Amino acid sequence: MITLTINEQKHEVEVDPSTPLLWVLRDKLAMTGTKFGCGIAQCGACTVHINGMAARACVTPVSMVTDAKITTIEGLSTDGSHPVQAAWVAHEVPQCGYCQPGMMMAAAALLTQKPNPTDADIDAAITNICRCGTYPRVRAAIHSIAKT
Amino acid sequence: MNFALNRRLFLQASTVAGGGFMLGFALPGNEAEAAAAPEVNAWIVIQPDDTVIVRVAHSEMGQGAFTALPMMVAEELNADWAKVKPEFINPTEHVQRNRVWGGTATVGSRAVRTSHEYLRKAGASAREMLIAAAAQQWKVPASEVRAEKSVLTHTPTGRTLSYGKVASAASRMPAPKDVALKPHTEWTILGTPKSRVEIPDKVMGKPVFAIDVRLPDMLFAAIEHSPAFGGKLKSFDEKAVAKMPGVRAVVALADSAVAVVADSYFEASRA
Ligand code: FES
Ligand code: FES
Repeated sequence: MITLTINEQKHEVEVDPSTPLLWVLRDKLAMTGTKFGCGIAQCGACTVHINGMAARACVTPVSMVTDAKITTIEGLSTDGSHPVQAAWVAHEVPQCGYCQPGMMMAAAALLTQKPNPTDADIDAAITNICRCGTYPRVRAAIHSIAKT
Repeated sequence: MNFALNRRLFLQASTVAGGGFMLGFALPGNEAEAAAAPEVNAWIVIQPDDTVIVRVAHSEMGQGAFTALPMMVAEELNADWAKVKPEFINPTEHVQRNRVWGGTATVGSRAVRTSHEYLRKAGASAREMLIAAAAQQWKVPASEVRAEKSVLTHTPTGRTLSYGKVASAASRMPAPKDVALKPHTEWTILGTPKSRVEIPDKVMGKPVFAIDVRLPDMLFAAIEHSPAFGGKLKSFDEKAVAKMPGVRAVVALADSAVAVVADSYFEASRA
């Protein structure tokens, strides 16, 4: 039995400790907001926060995060009011939306570390892949938060 | 196979559209429909609080169909856009109701191009039914009733009724045989920029993508192909794989690939 703290709630799951956090979220806890893209840490669709830092859940064994505070898109806010979510709505960033939970988690983590990121900071920190090509709006949305 | 499917859907859509289908669909005697908020026609449900539910038969993939298609209905319905609530059709109901919503294939930038005429007609027809219902309630000729922004006005006296108040009576009105569509110079919703209505859900991670669908007793399959083009399957260790956690079956696919069926996608792909 493994105990995890996700979005400020404790969850007990019966799972092989080597299972990636992504699959515990999606399959065991039915939290499907966190997406599967590649499974090999390349695309960022599975980005969550572990103690406030962006991390790729597809390559994070659950056994490594039993003492950590995990935040997923479902916990970024309960009502879509997190500044990143508000900026994403204002700039209509999502197209299909599949990559966006990971994109927003990466952006939120970046803004906590660097409240005024430059384009270069954004490019360096947000390596998430968006098949729809929403990159220009991701940048614009992040800058709009930085200015406020 | 895709082509066959599209062609079939297309043929069905054209048959029904040609037959003047889908309007005035709230048939008397259908209890399930009568119990719910009144369906003025298959595309439009108007609730007592004036919320106008507009059904959407195409997929939203970021191209904006979930916003654009209801705009077409709302334009002819003379609905208040702020009260319009798009809703996806239920595929099971679509089949049960003899494909009342026509073609659903979402391909080739066709959603707007192929459905605008029947969607606008559905909106215009519902508008005429609302006008007829208000005229009947006021006992005045329909020509004295105007529909605008979800409100019906009896022009000579200035009396008003909101759409929600007459929707139930409107749903029992006969659907007009033929309706005129507005010239584009009179459009107030179409041709104006509107925010995409599904975005607030998307920023909360709520939409259910195909990979998020969970059905009772669902199993997952992962397929391993030959790494080389045209490569053939020589052998695989079925026993070793079958012992792995969650694995239910190992199946050879012709002579070129192996599928592992398991309780979860992760378990299937790991094996
Ligand atoms: S699924 Fe984790 S990085 Fe692609
Ligand atoms: S919005 Fe479609 S993949 Fe990014």
